[in-house]
Amino acid sequence: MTITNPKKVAIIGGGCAAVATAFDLTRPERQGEFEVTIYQMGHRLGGKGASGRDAETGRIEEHGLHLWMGFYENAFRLMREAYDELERPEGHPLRNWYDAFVPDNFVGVTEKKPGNQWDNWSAYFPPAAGLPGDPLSERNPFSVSGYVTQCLRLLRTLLLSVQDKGHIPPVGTGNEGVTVAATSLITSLISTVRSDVYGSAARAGRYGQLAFGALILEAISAFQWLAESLSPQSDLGPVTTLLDRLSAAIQKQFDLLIAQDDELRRIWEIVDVLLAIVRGCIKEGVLFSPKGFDLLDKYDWRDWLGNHGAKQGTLDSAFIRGSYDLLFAFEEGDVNRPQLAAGQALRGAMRMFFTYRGALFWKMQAGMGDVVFAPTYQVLRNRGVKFEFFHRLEHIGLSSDKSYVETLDFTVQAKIKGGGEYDPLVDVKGLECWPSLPVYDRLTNGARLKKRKWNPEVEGDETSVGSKQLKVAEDFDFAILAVGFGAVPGLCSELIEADPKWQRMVANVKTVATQAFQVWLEEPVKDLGWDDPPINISGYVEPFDTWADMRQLIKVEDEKPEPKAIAYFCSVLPDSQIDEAAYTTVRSNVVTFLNRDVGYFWPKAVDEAGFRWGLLAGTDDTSEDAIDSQFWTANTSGTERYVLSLPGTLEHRISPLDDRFDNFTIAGDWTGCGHQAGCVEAAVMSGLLAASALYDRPDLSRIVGYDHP
Amino acid sequence: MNMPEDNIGSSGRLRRPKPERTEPRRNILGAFLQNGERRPQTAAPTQSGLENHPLGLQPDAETGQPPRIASSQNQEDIQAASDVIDRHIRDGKQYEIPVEDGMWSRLSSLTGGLDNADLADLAKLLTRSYSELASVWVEIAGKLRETINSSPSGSTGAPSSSSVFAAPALFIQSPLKLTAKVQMFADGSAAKMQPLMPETGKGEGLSEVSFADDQISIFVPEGTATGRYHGLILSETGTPIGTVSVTAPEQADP
Repeated sequence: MTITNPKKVAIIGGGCAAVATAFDLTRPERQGEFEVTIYQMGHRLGGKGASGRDAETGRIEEHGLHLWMGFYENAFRLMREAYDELERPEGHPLRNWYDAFVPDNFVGVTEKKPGNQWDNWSAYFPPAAGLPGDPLSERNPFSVSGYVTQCLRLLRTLLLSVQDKGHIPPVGTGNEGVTVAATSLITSLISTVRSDVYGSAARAGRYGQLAFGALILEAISAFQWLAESLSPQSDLGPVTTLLDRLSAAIQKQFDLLIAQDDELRRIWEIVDVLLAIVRGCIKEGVLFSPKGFDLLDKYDWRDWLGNHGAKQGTLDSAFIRGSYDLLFAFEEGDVNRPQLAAGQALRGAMRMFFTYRGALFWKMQAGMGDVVFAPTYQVLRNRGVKFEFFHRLEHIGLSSDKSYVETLDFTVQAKIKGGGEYDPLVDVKGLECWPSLPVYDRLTNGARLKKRKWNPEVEGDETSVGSKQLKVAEDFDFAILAVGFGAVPGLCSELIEADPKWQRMVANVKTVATQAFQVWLEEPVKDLGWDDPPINISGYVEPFDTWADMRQLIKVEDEKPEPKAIAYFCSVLPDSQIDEAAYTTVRSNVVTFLNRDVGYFWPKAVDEAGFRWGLLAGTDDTSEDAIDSQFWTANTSGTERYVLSLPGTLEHRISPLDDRFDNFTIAGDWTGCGHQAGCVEAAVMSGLLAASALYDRPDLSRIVGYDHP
Repeated sequence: MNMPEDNIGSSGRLRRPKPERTEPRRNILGAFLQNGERRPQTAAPTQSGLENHPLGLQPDAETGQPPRIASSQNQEDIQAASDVIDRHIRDGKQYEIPVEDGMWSRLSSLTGGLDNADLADLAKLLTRSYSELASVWVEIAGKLRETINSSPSGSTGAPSSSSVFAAPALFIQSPLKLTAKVQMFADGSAAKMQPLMPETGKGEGLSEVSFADDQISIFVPEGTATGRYHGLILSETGTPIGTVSVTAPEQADP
C-alpha cells in the first residue's frame, strides 16, 4: 500500500545528517508517508564530508581527513543498508560495504621528548567481535559491563602485544623487558593465588608489582562496596579511599620501573587515566546522576582528569593530547587553548576504545563522496527523493505568530540544461563519483561557467539565475535545516529573535576552521624512511598535527603514471589566520611543514635545503612551486567549519526533537543528538532524530547510543 | 493515512507530533539496558548447569562457547585463580540485601525512583558484570601463564619443561627473626635488586639492598614494621626476573 497524500518534507543541506534523515523518512516500510526533496547548494552532496574528483587525474580531493570509527553503529548501519539496497553488479569496484570500508587496526600518536625530539607510539588494536552496524545481540556491548570487559581486553592487549611484535613498530631496545615485566608480574600474582587460595582478591592485588588484573578486580570490588556504602548514614568515602590507596600503591611500584621503559610508562598513563576516571565518576556522583556523563561537561577534560588524580605526565601525554587533535578541540583554532568538555570526551573515549566492533578505525577505499554520498544518493533517487542542486538557502521566514516556518527563500545558482534534474555524478574507473567542480556541460551556459572555473560552493559567490520561495502547505509541510552550524546564525535570524533557546545556542556553540593538504609522491613512504605499516598518527607539531597514510587510494584514482604514495595532513586553522588570503596562508603553512617538520616522519624526503620538491607527483617542477600541483584547502566558510565540544556549551545545543517551531526541525552534528561531537556518527544520530521528530510514535531505541549515560 | 487532528493546524497545514521527550535518558539503567531495553533476556548467573558455573561465568563473547578455564599446561594455576574469584563472589553473598531494605530505598531515590523490579534487575546485572569480568581475568591469567611457560625469555624457544630458574643466593642481615623467599619466574642473570616495598603499600620499605657476586644482601633494621615486603630482582637489562619476599614477624615485648 502506498499513501496517496504524502507529507512534503524539504531538507536543506546534503551532508551526513540530511542524508540520514532522508534515508529514514523514505524507508520502504513507511509506505511513502513522506515525499522528500533535498535542496543543496552547489553541485554535490556531502557538506563537510564532501569530496570531489579532479577532472583530469581522478585525484580525490577531500575537505580533510575522514576516518570512520568502529563504534559508528548508526552510520555503518545506514551504509550497510544502502549498499544492500543498491545491489551493485558483480565486478563493481565498491560492490559491497566491506569493499568500501576496510579495517584499520593501527593508530599512533607522536609525543614530544626533551630536547625538542619526538617519538612515535604506535598501537595495534586487535579486531573486536562483530562488525559495526550488526544488530545488537542480547550480549549488548554498549553497557557498563561491556565497557569494563573491553577495558580488561585492552589491558590484556597491551600486556600481550609483545606476541605481535611482528606487527608493531619497534620503539627501540628493551621491548623484551615489557614482555617479561608484564608476564612475570602477573605470574607473581598467580603464585600468590597458588600459595594462598583462600586469600582475598585485594590481598592478591597488593602482592604483584603491576598486577593489572587485580587492579581492575579491586576497581570492580569498589562498585560492590559502593552499593554497600549507600546507606543513609554513610558517604562514598570508603570507595574513593580504596581507589586512592590502590592508585598510590600502584604508582609507587610503577615509579620504580617506568623511568627506564617508555612503553611501560605509556601503559601506566592509560592505567592512570582509567583510575582517574573511576575515581572522578564516583566522587562527582556520575554513577547515579540522571544527567550521566553530561554532568561533567562543565569541566575541561584534562582539568577534570587532573582534579581526580591523573599525573601531570599523563595529562601531557600523547594519548591525551591526541584526543584534542582528533576533535580539533582548540578554541578559536588556537593550539594554546585546548578545550574539550569532559563528559563528552569520556563518552567518546569509552565508545571509541571499548565498544568498537571489527576494528578501531575503518578506512574508506575511495573518497568520502564516492564511498558514502554517491551510493546513498543513488538509493534515495531510486526511492523517489528529489534533489534540487544549485539551491542556496538565504532565509527562513516565520509565521506572524512565530510558531512555525512559513517560507524558505533560495537563490538558484544555475539552470540545468534541458530542464529536469541535474545529473551530478561522473565515472572514474567504473566508480560513480562526485566531481570537484560542477559538470559544466550539463548546465545552461556551461561553457561560460567552465571558462571561469565557477565554483558554486565558494562563500560569497553571487552567481544567480533567479530566486525561489517555498511556501508552507503548498511546497512543503515540514522543513529540516541540515546545514553546517556556521551557517545557522545567518539563515535563522527570525528563529533566533523569537526564541531564547536559539539565542543561547548561537551564543554558546562555537566552531573552528580547519586546514588540510594532500600530497601525491613519486616514492613510497618506506623509501622515505617510514618503515612501519600504514598509519593514522596524531599529536604531532602544528601547523599539521595529523598524518594519514592513504596509499590505498592509488588504485581508484586515475593518474598516469601512478604515484607511489598518498598522504593526507590536517589540523585546525587559527581564527587569526582567517581572512581573504586564508587559502594562500594554508599554502604557506604546507610549504613550511614540508620543509621543516615532515622529516620526522620521512627523513629521506628532506635534505639540507628542506623538502625535496621533486618527490611530488604530477609535475616536473622541482622547486617549491611544485606544491601547486598538489591539493590543499582552508575550510573557513560557515558550512565548512567544524563544531567544537567546548566545556559549558553542550547543554545549549537544541535537540532535533525540540518542537518550538511546529513544522520545523534541525539536523547536524551540532545539535543535541546524544553524542555531542563533530563526527559522522553524531550527524547520522541527529538525522535519525530529525526523522523521528516527524513520526507519530518514534522508536528512539533504534538509535544506538542515544540513551548512553 | 489520516493525521491526528491535533497535528493539523487551522490553516490546514501539518504540525509535528508532540514529542514524548527531547532528551536522552542518561541514568544508570541506560548504562546497563541500552535503548530502553527494560528486561534483559539473558538471565543473571544461576546455580545450575553451565549457566550455573559457581562463578556465573558467561559463554565466550566471541564464540558463544562455554569459557575455557584451563589447558593441560596451566590448569592448576588457572583453577587456583578461578577459586579465588569464586571465593570472592561467595564472600560477597553476605552483602546480599533484600530489595525492601534501606539500601535499596536509598539507591532508588538516587536513581530517580526506580521500582523494586528495576533494582532487582540492576543487582542481577551488576552480578553479571562482575562475573564477566571474572571470566576475562581468568583468561588473562591463563594466557599469560601460557606465555611464560612457552617462552620465558621472549626467545623463539620451545616450551620449557621446567619452570625452575636459577636463583641467586640471599643474605639477610638483621637482629630480627625473619622468613624470606626467593622466587624466580624467568630465566636470566640477576644483576640488580630493587628496594622491598611493604605489602600494605603503607610505611617504610627496606631500602638497604644490594647485589654482588650473584648474592642479594638485605639489611632489615630493628624496629622494622611487622608485615611482608616484596621486591623485584632485575636482570642486567632491567627486566624483572624474580621476586624476594621477606616477612617481619611481630616482635616480642622486651
